[in-house]
Amino acid sequence: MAASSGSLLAWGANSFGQLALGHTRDCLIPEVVDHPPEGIVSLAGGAGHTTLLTESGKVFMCGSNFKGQLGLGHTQNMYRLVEVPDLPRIVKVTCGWDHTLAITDKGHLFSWGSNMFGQLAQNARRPARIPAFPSGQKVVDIAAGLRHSLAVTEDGRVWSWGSGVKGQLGRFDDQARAGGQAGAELRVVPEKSDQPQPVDFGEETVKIVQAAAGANHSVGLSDEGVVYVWGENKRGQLGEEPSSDSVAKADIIPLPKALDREFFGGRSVLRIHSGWTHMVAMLDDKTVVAWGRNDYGQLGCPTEPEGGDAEAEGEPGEDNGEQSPSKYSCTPIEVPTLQGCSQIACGAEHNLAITEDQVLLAWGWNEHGMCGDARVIDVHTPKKVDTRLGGKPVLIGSGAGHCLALCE
Amino acid sequence: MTVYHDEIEIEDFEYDEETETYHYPCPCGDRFEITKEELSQGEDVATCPSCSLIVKVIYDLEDFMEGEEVAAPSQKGLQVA
Repeated sequence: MAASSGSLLAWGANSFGQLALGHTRDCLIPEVVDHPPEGIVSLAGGAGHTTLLTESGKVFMCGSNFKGQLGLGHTQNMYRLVEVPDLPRIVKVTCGWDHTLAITDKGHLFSWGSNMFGQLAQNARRPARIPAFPSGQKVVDIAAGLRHSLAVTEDGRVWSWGSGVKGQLGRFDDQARAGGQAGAELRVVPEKSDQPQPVDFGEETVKIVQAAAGANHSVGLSDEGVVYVWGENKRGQLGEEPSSDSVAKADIIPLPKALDREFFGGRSVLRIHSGWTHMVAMLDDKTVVAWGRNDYGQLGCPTEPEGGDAEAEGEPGEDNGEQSPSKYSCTPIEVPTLQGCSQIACGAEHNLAITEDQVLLAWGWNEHGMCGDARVIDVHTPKKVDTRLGGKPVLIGSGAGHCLALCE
Repeated sequence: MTVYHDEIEIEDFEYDEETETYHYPCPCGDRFEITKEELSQGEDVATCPSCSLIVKVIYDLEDFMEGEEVAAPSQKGLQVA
């Protein structure tokens, strides 16, 4: 991605100063961030924290810091961007709910923030390298959910650690294999794990090149364009009909399951993104599809429920909005107007995209102005965000409920 | 009609012993919260201080009755046959 010295826009939820604007008021339209660092190459966010990476490998952060997720050696929230000190040169950075992961130019993995579920895989009180990352393999990609972490190594394996109660680690707990009754062996998912261990792909030879994480699920994209998913399937986000009527019931796929070309209508996947409980994929014909939770318009397609695929759970007429989308879909639906888009970023329940002709679009949950249209009504199909304050969008990033765009 | 953002089991909440409050992530970036006292009174709606979303807390009231020990979060992982 080309570095740019353009202007940085921020909007959406801002309870912790995550918009880097020097205050904590939500912004329903994009506002200009003063004095952003030069040469920004990536933008990302967690719950209430924000991270920017520059071309020179520096990391700048702001927002919520009560678990030390800003890596500053203290726990005071920061309303303006601050450089994280004493880091090696960083090439990739991502945020979990209240933790942060970063890959160095040597392929080492650093972590900081909350370690409540072992999601840091190290115990230092400030940014530190995850000790002895297995087998000396270089880390090439990272992703983080609410309480778990994923890393892809250059040999194509995926490593997982942190909370495992929803099956998001993609492996069973070998130490705690419960003896079942009369030969019925019960396998147990780890409650949590503070050490990276490989995700269990069984006998299958799979080379993963990209990872993504939802709230409580995980995703790996193979070099052949096949998506593997594991973890929680409460909203059909793993491509299967949720198994129970009650959304409270655990609905888990504990080991990787392939969403193959057939799932995507004979197409392979170029890039996969995940919100908390929905997914967005760019296919090899440059079509963009989405599936999973849709009750705030996350899928960008206000379709009528179709036979067996997208089912409305509620009573007819229950929604008071202009449109009444199905609550979820466990099969991919094409998102209109996104054909050929250059970038996609998912928040918890909203999404951003830059179209082929450099227009910024947003859709989904909008209570805090994530869709940047000066309103707080959910947006059910991708809608243009006015970026004229900054120029044409070249880079986007999203936290749970906040949005960032670099413009030139 | 009440529309819950989600239904979350009490075991999935993080507990802050100092404030005796249970927390769970809200998609706005803040956290849903409900106190031990509210749970003991049968309240089962956790609210977010920053937005309108609410979640229903799934828990056993008996675990929170006066004089009873608070149920520790489950130490076991989910069992899968």
